[in-house]
Amino acid sequence: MRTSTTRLVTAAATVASALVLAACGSGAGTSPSSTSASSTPSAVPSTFAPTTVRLLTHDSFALTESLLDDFEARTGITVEVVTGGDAGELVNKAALTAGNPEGDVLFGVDSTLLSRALQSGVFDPYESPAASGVPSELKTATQEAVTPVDYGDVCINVDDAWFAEKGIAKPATLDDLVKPEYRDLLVVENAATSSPGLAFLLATVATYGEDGYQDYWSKLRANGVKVVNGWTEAYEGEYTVGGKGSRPLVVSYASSPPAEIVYASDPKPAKPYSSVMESSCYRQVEYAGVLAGTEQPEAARAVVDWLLSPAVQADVPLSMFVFPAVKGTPLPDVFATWAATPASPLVLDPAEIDAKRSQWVDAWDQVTLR
Amino acid sequence: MSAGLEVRGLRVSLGGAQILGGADLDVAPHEVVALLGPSGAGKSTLLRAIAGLVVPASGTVSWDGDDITSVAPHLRRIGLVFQDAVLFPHLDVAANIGYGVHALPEVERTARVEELLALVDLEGLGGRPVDTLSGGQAQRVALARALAPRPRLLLLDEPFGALDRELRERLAADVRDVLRSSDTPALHVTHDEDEAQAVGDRVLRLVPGPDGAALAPA
Amino acid sequence: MGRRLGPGDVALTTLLPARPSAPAPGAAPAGQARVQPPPAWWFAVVPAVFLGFFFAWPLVTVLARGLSSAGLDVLGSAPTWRVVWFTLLQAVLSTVATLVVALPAAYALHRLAVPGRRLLLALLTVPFVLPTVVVGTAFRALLPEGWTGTLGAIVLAHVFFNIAVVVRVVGGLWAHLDRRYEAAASTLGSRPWRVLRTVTWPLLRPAVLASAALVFLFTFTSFGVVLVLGGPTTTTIEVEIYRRTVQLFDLPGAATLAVLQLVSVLLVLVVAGRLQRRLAVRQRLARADVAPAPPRSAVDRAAAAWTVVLSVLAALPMLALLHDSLRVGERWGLDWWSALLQDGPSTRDVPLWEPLRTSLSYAVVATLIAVVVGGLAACAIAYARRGGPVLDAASMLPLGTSAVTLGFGLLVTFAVRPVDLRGSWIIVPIGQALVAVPLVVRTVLPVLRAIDPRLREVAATLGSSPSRAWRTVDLPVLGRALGVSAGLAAAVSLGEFGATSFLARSDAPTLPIQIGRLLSRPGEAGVGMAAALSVVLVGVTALVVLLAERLRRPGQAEL
Repeated sequence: MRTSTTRLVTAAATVASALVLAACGSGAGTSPSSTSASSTPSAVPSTFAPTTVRLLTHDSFALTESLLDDFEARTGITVEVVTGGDAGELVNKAALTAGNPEGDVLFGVDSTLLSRALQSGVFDPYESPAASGVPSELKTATQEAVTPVDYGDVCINVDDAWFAEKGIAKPATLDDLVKPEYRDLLVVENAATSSPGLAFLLATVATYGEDGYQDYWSKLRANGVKVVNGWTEAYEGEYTVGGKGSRPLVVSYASSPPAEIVYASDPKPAKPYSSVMESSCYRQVEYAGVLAGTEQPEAARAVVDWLLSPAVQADVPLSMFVFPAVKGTPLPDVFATWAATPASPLVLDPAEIDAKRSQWVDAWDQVTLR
Repeated sequence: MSAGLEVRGLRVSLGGAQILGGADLDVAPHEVVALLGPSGAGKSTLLRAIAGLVVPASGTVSWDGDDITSVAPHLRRIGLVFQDAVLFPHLDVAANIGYGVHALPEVERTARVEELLALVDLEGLGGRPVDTLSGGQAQRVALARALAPRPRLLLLDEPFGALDRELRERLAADVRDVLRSSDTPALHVTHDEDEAQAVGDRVLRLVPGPDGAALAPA
Repeated sequence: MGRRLGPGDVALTTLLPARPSAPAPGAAPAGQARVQPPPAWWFAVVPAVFLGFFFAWPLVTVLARGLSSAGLDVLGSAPTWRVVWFTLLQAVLSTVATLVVALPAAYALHRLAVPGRRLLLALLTVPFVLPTVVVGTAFRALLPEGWTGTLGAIVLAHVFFNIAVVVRVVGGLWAHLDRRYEAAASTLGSRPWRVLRTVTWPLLRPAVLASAALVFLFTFTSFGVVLVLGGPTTTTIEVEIYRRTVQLFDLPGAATLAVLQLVSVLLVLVVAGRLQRRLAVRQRLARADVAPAPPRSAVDRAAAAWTVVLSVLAALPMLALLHDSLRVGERWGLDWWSALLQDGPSTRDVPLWEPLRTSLSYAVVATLIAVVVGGLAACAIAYARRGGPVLDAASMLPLGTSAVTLGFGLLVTFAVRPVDLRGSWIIVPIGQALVAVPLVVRTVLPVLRAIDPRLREVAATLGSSPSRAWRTVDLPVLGRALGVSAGLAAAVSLGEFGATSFLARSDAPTLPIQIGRLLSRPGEAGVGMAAALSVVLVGVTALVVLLAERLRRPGQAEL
């Protein structure tokens, strides 16, 4: 049903944009967007006099380039992608400039940062009508101010060949990791400087509760967990896959196995080297929203809608190695086959994260590093 | 009122110490005056005051009867040759000599530079970088450079002090000839009695005193 | 870091605030020299406006926002003082280690006829201008297991980066030390060790101190190296500011630490400046082109051998990168290089020339700004009648300022008309230029101070007005120094990663940013392509610096 609606919308938009282009030929280039569209953004994506929307995002943002061109041809909106730093830097900048933003749309605030962004008044509340296709568990914390675009899980990755060679069973639960047979095998990222590091800390809080996570980490420490500053150091430097490191367990993503295949040199391996320990997966959702203070809220909303469009949603897995938020979006084969899809990933309430993040990280720092 | 340089009652203090305590001095047109005095007597300070490079506490410097005490050095047309050549390190020999005549059209400037190169016996060295010159050559270039804009008075501050005796004597004779042929009056400072006699039409002596140095006939 | 030490009685000028050797300019009172460089304030206007506008104002704005009593809690916490202690410890160790390692090389390369001297000097200099992200990557590949994240790794990387500072600053003076002082001591019956202790060392001390202070400053505020090579327990104040700002949203804490760092740096600058003024010796410097002696004694031969070893070690990280860029699985190949050239369908696929173009255009703009602002600031400092040392120290402050704090300051301050730079690309080169200005000042200032004031007097007696005297005497010297400093500024801009990486960019990524992105891809393709791109970045940077070096007058001292 969604597909047919979209097709219809696309056709309408094409006609409309042709009309707008014709109108532009005769006069002012800054003619306002159609007001009828703004009152019912759910039905028709607005068409616009040629305009540019600035999309603020993190350095990991990627999409197939033709999607941006198509969108521009269809709506008259040029999406200017403005990057600068990681998600934390992005949200912090947005919070500092709340009400007078650097751009019009922000994409890339994740569930660990959402509360902070909402509290700072970063967003002009807008939930895309297309969010109706997003499962409700991804929308619990949005306060209908932002729209989920994708989600991904931070999970422990396991070097299958290493465990097969040693004849040791792969660990299945977080509890297993503190057992003697898994001594000195795990590398994790610093929860204070790395996004997956923080996610894994949150996974342990979600599993063992506020009372138990510190105890768990002191056991992990006693069992020889190694902490490095970032994902690159952990995955490229310490993990056994790739041959450089010496630890066969690493905190990475549920999508790392398909990424191993996509980024492998030819001939591609038949299957990934790593598998995912699903009970360790912590879910991160990425949201997009209209920035409060934008001078073109209509066009900004259209861009948020576009991020939820089937074409962009279908593009998300292989562009950013995350799962599309809209249910039913077809997944590429490599993703469908090899990405882990844990049935019940760990989550925490963003408001709680925001309130206790510093406290948890500081306690973690004390227990794990000092 | 007299023609040429007239210095009257010149007092200069540097850093609280009185260096010159009322110097009187005349240099007539066409005259080369040699100025003798022990090291540190204030010879250089006197020259710098005449050139306008230091401001005197009192006294006057006049030329042809006009008081030039407060005229900026670049407007005085008084040349100065330092003890070491102080050539512009980024310019070649010809450009150093041509520095003071940059306002001339190029053809005339080139001709003037050639003329001076010949005068100081350095024909053909115009294109040389200055750091390839020997001490004597560098001093000749400095002399040529100072003469190029046809100064009305040339001040020479122990120009051969850093050179060996034989070279010094030869150069002293050369300088005398050059000054004669270019008809430039000069005040030539030295601490060498023989050199003073060799160059100067007249020899004066700078005598240190408790209130700064003063001049007396040798 | 240029020093022109010509023959003659030249005041010893160094890289740190020192008493100006030129007489004070301005209207001359009685007894004072009358021929002066132009008034300092002519030159001070543009740098003062630029630095006030793009440095002081944003800094004050963001600090004012952050500083509160809540921030003072940071000073009461034990982890903070651990960070401060570690920052100090690693900076001191790095400085001492760099001196120990580099001084023999400074001697060998400037006093001995070592074969391949120029090549060795180049090999030891290149690391200084390398981007931290590249070096961090290369080091991780080379370090033995278990070293990443240790104090040792950080100190090693800091030594690698800063050898050039010591070799060039100390060597620059060493080459010009009049050997007759040492010869005189020998003829008075001193053994070589005593000559070194009683003659060479006192004469060299100011330069050693200057280079040590610079290395200390660089390592005390180190960001990129510590972020990439440091571990969770090995953190500097600068990284902690970043962490508090970006990860913990603790602006008050970050602001407090930023002030702490700034004050510490200021303190170091003032103390080093004082010490240096006390140690400075006016000495007659020899020409540099006195033929270096072939190594004869065992000590000389050891120094020469050590220099060769050091140069090889300095080249290792670069060789490792080259190796990684050519190693495809179990075979050799150009796969990663050809992958770099391809433009894929995704915005993630960036063909080589795009970041190259972006980096180069940023570098051009940043260099232009840094050279104009830094050059004028150097003139103002050199010609200042009073307050020169204060201005001098102030010009070093951007080096001691947390780049994260400054970046956020720029963002918050320039978000409203009339100066609305939100999302503008220009803010990136401006940020880079701020980091480069102190290096430009340090390069140009000693050159200006070394100008013999009598050259201006000669010019005056030859009929030159003060302005022509400045144009014909100061400007040509200034021009070449600016050329050299432009190379340094461009290198800073090209390699900049951590500092201004979060300033918004609305176009393609720069080379270091793209290297960072490639490194965050799982699998060998990411590593391989990152290595290949790093080789490109190293090549471009080295080329730019070498081109700038050619502008230096032959015979003029290095750095």
